[in-house]
Amino acid sequence: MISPLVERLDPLARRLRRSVGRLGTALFGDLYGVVLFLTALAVYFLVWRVEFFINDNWVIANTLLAVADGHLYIDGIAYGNPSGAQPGMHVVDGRLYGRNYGQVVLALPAYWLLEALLVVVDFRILLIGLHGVVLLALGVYVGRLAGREVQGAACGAVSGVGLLFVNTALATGLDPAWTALAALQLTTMVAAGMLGVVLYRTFRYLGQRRTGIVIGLIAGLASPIGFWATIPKRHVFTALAGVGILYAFLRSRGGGVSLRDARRYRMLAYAIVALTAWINAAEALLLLIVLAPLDLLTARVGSPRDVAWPAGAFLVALVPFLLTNLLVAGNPMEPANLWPSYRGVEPVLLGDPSGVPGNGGTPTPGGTPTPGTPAGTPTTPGETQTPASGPGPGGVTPTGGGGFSIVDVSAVLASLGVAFDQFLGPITRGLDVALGDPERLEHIFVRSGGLGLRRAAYQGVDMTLLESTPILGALLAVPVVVLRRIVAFISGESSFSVFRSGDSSFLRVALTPARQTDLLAVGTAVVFSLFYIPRLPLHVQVTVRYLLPVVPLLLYAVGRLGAFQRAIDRGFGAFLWSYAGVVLVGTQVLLAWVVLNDLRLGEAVQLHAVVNLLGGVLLVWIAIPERWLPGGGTRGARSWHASVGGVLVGVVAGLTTAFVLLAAWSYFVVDLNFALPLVERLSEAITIQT
Amino acid sequence: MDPTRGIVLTALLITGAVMVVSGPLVPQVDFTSRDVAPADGQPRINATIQQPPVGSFTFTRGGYGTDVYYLEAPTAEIRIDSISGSPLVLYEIDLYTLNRSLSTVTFLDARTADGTISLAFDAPAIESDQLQSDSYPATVRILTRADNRTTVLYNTSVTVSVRDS
Repeated sequence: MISPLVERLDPLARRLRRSVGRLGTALFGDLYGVVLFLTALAVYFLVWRVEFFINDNWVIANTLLAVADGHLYIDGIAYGNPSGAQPGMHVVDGRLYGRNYGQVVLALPAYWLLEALLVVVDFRILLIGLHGVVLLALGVYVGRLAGREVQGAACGAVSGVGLLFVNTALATGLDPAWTALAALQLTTMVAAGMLGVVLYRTFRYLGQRRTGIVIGLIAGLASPIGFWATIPKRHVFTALAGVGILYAFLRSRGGGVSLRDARRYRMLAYAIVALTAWINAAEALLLLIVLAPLDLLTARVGSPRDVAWPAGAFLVALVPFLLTNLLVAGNPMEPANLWPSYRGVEPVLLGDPSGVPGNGGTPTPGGTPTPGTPAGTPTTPGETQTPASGPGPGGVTPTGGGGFSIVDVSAVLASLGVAFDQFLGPITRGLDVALGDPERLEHIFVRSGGLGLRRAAYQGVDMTLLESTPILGALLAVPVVVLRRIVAFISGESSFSVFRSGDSSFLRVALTPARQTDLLAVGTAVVFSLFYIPRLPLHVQVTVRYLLPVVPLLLYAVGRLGAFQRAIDRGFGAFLWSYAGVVLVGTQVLLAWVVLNDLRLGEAVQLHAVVNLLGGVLLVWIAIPERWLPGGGTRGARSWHASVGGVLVGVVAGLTTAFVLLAAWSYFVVDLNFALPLVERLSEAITIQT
Repeated sequence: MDPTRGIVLTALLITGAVMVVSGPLVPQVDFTSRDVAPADGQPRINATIQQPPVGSFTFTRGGYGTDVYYLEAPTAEIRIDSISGSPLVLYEIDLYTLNRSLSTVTFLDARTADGTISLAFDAPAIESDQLQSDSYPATVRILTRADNRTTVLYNTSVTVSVRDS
């Protein structure tokens, strides 16, 4: 009965399929990209808890409800502390405002989709069904990749429908009041999945498909991105922005790209920076101060017109950010983190303002005063620094009948000054720490435990960058390689080049598109680190989350190592098998150790930290020259060397994925409110003591 | 029809059907009926100590370089004679010389209707730089709380010793 109907719809279906195909190529590049994305998403569902992991998320969820309602101000506290005194809550002109508006707007489609589906579907069953569809799609695309379409589709269908039945049989009700949080989480999961895809596409473009697959997989599932993928903070989004810029920058310089396309990619890079400002202005500025000079210095053409296009794209993409600031603070250059914090004592208005119907929450032209607010609304800063020179709210409220014609220029300049103060201050302090406090650097980047933790002492749950992303241990190969290159260079054997490249002259090497992109990645990672070092180590970071955007940039650096590429090229199978083995078996071994030894939360995290650190250090193996091995230089030694390298990368990646899974299932269990009931049952049985 | 498409369409149809049947359009079917019903009635509880927490109370240093101490305490058991609503039980160790009180809260509802329940002590760790002496005096309390009414079931003084191994 179905078949004739399908045949009738065929022409339409073909057209639809063509446009879907085009969209898919634009987003994922190719089938590998699709599979990477779906794999990440399928795993994120397994660790998805529909609950607040960190109280910073309250305000974001409340902001989403406000924006979905058509206004920027928050007029009802649906989540968290009902007084509205929540981290990140701001008060301007007697109105409550949230933050991360860009992130919130990104979550709107997911929110509307969930709301629309809830009309016909139970909330819990909806999440279960979505997971089933993801599994089905994964089976279909893996099958297509492997040239076994029917088997792939069958596997996807059986696992998808099977889990749908099991989960439905175990289902308990889920309050639809969680929709806003769930939408934010889904959006973050999609962003985290896309992050791996963008990294994959970057390497595919460089002609390193296998390295791209491995780095993309690691970024999504074997790095702190996986930990934060279901926790809707800004970090995953700014991390995605970082790799997005990297990819666009590379494409704008790559060979075989027309000047017009190159210009488009440049515009894309700047547009991403500008949109990031809508999520977090400071991090956007960090991205910009590395991108802009590097781009201008290495651009293919430097005519004014070539600068005008990217600059135009930047300004256009900056409009939502400027408009939000203008509407809330009356000053386009005063981003959310400079608005006065709300501490629960300032008089505020909740509920609809009387006499301003359909106003959409924007300050009314004509200067309608917000009822109940004295002119001198307290602007005492909370934990955020408010500019002393900043405009008092109300002072720059747009006046006049026709719009926002009057913007106080001095106020704009003042906030620009404050922005730079707040920005350059941390970077110079970061430099001081980097140069003068090696012990502190060690606590941020190398080893967190056992050394008399400072502020990070709470529970011992805060890992360092290397402990949480042990694959970065491969970067230990850099000094080894550099040393070998220097020796070879002095002895006249080879040219100087840290990363693999066919080029021989130093000057040309320094200027290849890939090299320029390397500089962008390393530069951004360094500036990000310097900016946040003065605030670290800090509690509730778990994986130094402030530095989350640094992680994919450094993963890119790992993938750019010739030694890593050789290990993956020749040891790809070894990588896949060892990764799968460690995820499937190693996770259980680690869990058994934790449970049998009755480890507490901090101990379990530190166990992972120690194991990861050991694994990470072992990765220096890939830098050891093959000719040092027994039977060196022969083909056998080469493949043996690469296989061991592949296994090591797989093991280290698997251990990190084990942490991502166990952290959600066993360690950091809040309310046992998993999206999938089956996972909830599992977690119930293996939750450890705090 | 192409078998792949058949499989995919069938799986999607099943998924769609389950989703729609679960929803408000088919009110007769409720897959999530195993909801924990909100406990009815005023929170009220009548309980007695069955097995007091007797044994050693220690601060034990966490392993793997955690640099924190975990307060380990014996498990207690209480006997519930009657219960309604959702009262809670608090197992609290007050380290008054440290100005810190660590506690474990257990929320009860009608499902834990009668019989005995055991209360394991599970509280966050304490930073090592907070502990200077070898032992600390403490008050151990087990109490129930229902509707702002607190009943102390057990109250005694103990010494918490600090163990470094």
